[in-house]
Amino acid sequence: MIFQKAKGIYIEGRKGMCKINPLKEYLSPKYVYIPLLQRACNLESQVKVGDEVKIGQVVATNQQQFNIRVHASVSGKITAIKKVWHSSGKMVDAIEIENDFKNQLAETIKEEKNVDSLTREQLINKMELAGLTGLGGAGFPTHIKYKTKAKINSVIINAVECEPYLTCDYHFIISYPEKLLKGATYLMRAAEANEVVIAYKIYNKQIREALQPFLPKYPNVKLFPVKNVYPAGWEKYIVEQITKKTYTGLPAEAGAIVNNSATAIAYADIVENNIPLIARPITITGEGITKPSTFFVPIGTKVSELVEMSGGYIKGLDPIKYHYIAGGPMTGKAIFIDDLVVNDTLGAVIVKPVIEGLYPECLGCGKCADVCPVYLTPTEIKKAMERKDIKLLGDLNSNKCIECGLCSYICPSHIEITEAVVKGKTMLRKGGQ
Amino acid sequence: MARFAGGKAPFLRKYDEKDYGTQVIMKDFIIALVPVILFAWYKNGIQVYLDGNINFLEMLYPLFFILMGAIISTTMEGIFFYVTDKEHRGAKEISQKLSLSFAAIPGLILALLLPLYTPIWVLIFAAFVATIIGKMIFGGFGHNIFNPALLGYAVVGFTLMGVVNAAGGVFNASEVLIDSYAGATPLGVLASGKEIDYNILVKPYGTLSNFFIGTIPGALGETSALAILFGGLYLVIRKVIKWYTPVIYVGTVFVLSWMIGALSGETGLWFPTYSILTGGVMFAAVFMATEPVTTPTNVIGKVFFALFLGVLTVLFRFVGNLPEGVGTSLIFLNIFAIPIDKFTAVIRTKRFSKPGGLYFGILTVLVILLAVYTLVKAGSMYTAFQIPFIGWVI
Amino acid sequence: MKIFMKKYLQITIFSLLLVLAFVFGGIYSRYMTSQIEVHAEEQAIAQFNQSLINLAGMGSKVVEAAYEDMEKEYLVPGFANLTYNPELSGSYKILDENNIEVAVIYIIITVGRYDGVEVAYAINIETDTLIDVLVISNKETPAYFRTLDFGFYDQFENKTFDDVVFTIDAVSGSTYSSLAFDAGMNYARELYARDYGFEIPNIVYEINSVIRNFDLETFVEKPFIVNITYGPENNILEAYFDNQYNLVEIISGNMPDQTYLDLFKNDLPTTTFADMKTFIRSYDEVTRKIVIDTKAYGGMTVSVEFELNENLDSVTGILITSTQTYDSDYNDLYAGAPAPAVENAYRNQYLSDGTYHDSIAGATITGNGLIRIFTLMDDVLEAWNGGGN
Repeated sequence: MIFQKAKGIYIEGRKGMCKINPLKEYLSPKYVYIPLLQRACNLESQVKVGDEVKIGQVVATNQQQFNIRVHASVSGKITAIKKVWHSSGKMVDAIEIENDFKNQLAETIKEEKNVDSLTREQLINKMELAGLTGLGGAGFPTHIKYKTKAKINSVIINAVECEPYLTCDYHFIISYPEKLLKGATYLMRAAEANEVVIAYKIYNKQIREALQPFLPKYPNVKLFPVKNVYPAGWEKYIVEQITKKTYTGLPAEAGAIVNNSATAIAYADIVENNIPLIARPITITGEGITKPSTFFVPIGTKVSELVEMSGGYIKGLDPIKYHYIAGGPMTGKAIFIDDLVVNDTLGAVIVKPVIEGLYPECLGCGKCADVCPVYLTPTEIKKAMERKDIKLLGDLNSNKCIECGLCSYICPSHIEITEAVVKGKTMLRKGGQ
Repeated sequence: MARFAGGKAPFLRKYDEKDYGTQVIMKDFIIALVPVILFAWYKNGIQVYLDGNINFLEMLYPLFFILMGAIISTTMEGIFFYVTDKEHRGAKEISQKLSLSFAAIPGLILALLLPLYTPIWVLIFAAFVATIIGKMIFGGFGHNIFNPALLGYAVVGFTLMGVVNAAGGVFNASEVLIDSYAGATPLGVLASGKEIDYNILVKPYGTLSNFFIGTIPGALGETSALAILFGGLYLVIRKVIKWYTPVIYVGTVFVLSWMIGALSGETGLWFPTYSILTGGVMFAAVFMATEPVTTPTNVIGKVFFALFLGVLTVLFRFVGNLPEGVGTSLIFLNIFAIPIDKFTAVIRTKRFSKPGGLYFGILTVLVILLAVYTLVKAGSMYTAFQIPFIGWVI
Repeated sequence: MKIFMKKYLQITIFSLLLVLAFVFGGIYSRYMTSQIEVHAEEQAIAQFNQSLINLAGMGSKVVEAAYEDMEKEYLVPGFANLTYNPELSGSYKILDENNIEVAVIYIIITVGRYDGVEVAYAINIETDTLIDVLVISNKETPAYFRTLDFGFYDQFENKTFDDVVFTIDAVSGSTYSSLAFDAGMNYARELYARDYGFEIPNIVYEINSVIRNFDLETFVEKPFIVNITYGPENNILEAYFDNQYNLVEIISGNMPDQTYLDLFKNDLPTTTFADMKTFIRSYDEVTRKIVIDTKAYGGMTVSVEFELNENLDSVTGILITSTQTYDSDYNDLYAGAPAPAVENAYRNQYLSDGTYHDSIAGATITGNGLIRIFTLMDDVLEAWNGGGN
């Protein structure tokens, strides 16, 4: 009771509007824009305006940090380097590639003959070369996770997709169930782990039904249903549920590596065909979209085209009364101008109405503390932040906040408590340095 | 290209759902007060009317008086909003502010804390102290340090109780006829008599079941444990309050009272039961110790708050010679709600590692010391029981 | 006005609300407080009514009745000819569940030792009986009033109004208070007769004469010869009565009913034909001692023993037996020596010159009693020796 474990809370899924429409492939947009930014790391363009590129050709890198590589997602000509809106909420430089619709593949893309005999190092190397990052939202380079020295027991595939509205993982899995299992098995081999556990939300029977027929072929893969709560897709939550162990830093401490299901599917192509990370699924949904849909698109596709393909905005939509959210509704960012391009971490664009109202003051109910999955006390962190009490911020473990948004979600007075805690977290990090 | 609205994650808010939010919590508080209000009306109006001791107009008065508390408080806040904010004096703006200020609740609780025969001008004065001084001066809803209703009640209790008693006090027209009451409330008997004896404390008022149902003399809302439990149950089910705050508070009072009884040679469970069923312990447990603004926010804070409150209630009641130990201890602890909240939040995150353990230790030792002090003092007041030397020290 | 309303509408409404709360609520709460006293009064009335119901021992509801006083004079106790009219201070009807009247209660103020003996008399209107009495208030001397015990009050219970002789036995030592009850009870019957059409049993009789029997042989056993006309047929009775007013021997006429005898016994003491309260108790031929009794102050007997000479024509010695009280503490009109000074004064004067002392201030009743005794003694001597009459 006193040191209670937050169990997550049920949030209405609102996935139905998008689930009914199957995954659409849209692989040949006229233009793609490859952002020169990945996970707060600026990239150096490896091409110039006027260059011809092929699909899979490296166009930008950052060798200092994590050895990031980004590949061309269509074949064609570099026409410009210009600013586009990025899912981080900022405008960033992007390489504009005009599609020549010839679909010329880079030389590196070829079928891998001896898949079964690849060593751990080779498998990890493939990740690095393909520029594989976590497609769930964090965008952490996958190969860094696998270069751990710790003994890994389980590779966990996160197919939970716990945020409301989102259906891209769901659609991706039921479209490519065997690829998922293959990719997962390769990941297991890359970690030299004993098993793969696929965690999914218990009510998503379709995922289980899609995977079931192939399971006999993949004896090391287990399915693991988790509760329909938020944040059930949070890495630590899943690891604790599956391994019954907890950790403070990385899941590797508990002998586990967690990957998103889309990452696993992409990895299957990387291993078997050496196709780098050039496409990803994305959900275009929300009350402001006429026909919410999920797409499989090249990285760099303009979201506005996808919105058009989803029937456009609903009739009479007044943009200023709607949020245009890059990412999930709980953790995403509001984008002011709907000129966004798809990057590796963008799993969804949600257009939903702004609900305005007059909000009461904090009444001190403590619900924010009750729901916090890391047992923080948001109200006190907010107060400490307002007083700039760095020591207290430290005592209150402000740095542990995972920014899940639950405290703001639950707040009966509609207080931007998550924002305040994040500010406190930043203040502690800066003050602590 | 269209310009969309800005905002911060999360973009989903439970607040936007129907039937959720602070307004709903406050509405639930009012709903939870309904059984208490109805019982107060029944006991002081309807039942007396059925006894044939009052006329119809007098029968309506308890309800009128309680509703008056809400109306007067709301009106006063309306005037306050009008006077203090020259920019926003529109009817719509003021009513919006009022709808987020929840003045009716302290007004209702205030009326329920007062005796039936309180003159209306005393109620108006108490409402002024409660809403304007106790709440608006501090910055309005959410910023008040003291429980507004309790502050209003306490000021009346210390200054105008003579006026209230002169106007008729707590006894309704049926109760004045009962000779065995002898014009005293149960706690008044304990405070003046300092004797733990079933025949003195309970017998004149019937049995303990009368205390539970609430057919004993007392302020309008505080007598019926049954009605209060209904309200409390509703609040718990609606997740407005945590069940353990009232339980720990009442439990602490129960255990300490039992020990004081035992020290004076009365080991029967009737005495602690009597102790929790009198003097508004139940009302405070459900409606005031759980009042979110003026009590700690987090779980450990609530637990410590309830423990301190229980110990202080017993201390003020048995040692301080104040029948209203409950109100005094609550007002006193309201001041400490903020520090308790801060320290227990650290305990919550740091557990027993530094400095959480230190804070935990300090709070625990404080509770235990206070409890022991209370027992020693009360024990020596109610019996010949004396711990040698300790009496000289503290 | 319009501009004012536009500018100050909100504050006006709020202020008005507050003022309304203050005024209306204030009136309401003051009314509540004032009602406390009203309820206290109501409660007192309810308790009083309940006590009336308890007194009647029947019914469930009390209704005030507006019966009025009537003219009826009663003797003030202790005075032979001073009368007063009792006062009806309240009258109540007792109704049963069906609102049918079952009893009536008269509250009557009469005079005992002092004025103001207020007693409730409950009457069953079906059986015409007194149900019980209840003392509401009195100013009597508490020590004496307390001597009215259960035995006294029991006399009133279920006493029928049909009694011809409608009286109660007085308690000695509290005679005056007893008389107050007696008068009240009779007054209640009169009121009841008027208000409820009850007929008070009225038996016609007339005392024609009372003379003393001085016959030496019989004057102790049958001291009075009474001549009465009684009954509807005007029967004439002449008979001897003893000093307890019982018929002893008929001289002429027939033996009347017991009702008449009771009536005679009741009324004879107050007759004006002869002083029947003074009588010869005994006579001893050998010692020639004659004892004469009377009732003096407080209804207490004063007894005088006369010793006669051999010729039975003069008094040679007097012995007075008396418990009369009179002194300055007791009666501030009295200025003489303590008891038995009054008795001694009369005795000595009579012995010395055969006359009677004047009445003594503060001890008139005692003195009058003694005068009556000496007067009777003189009458006896005259009857025996005067011979002529």
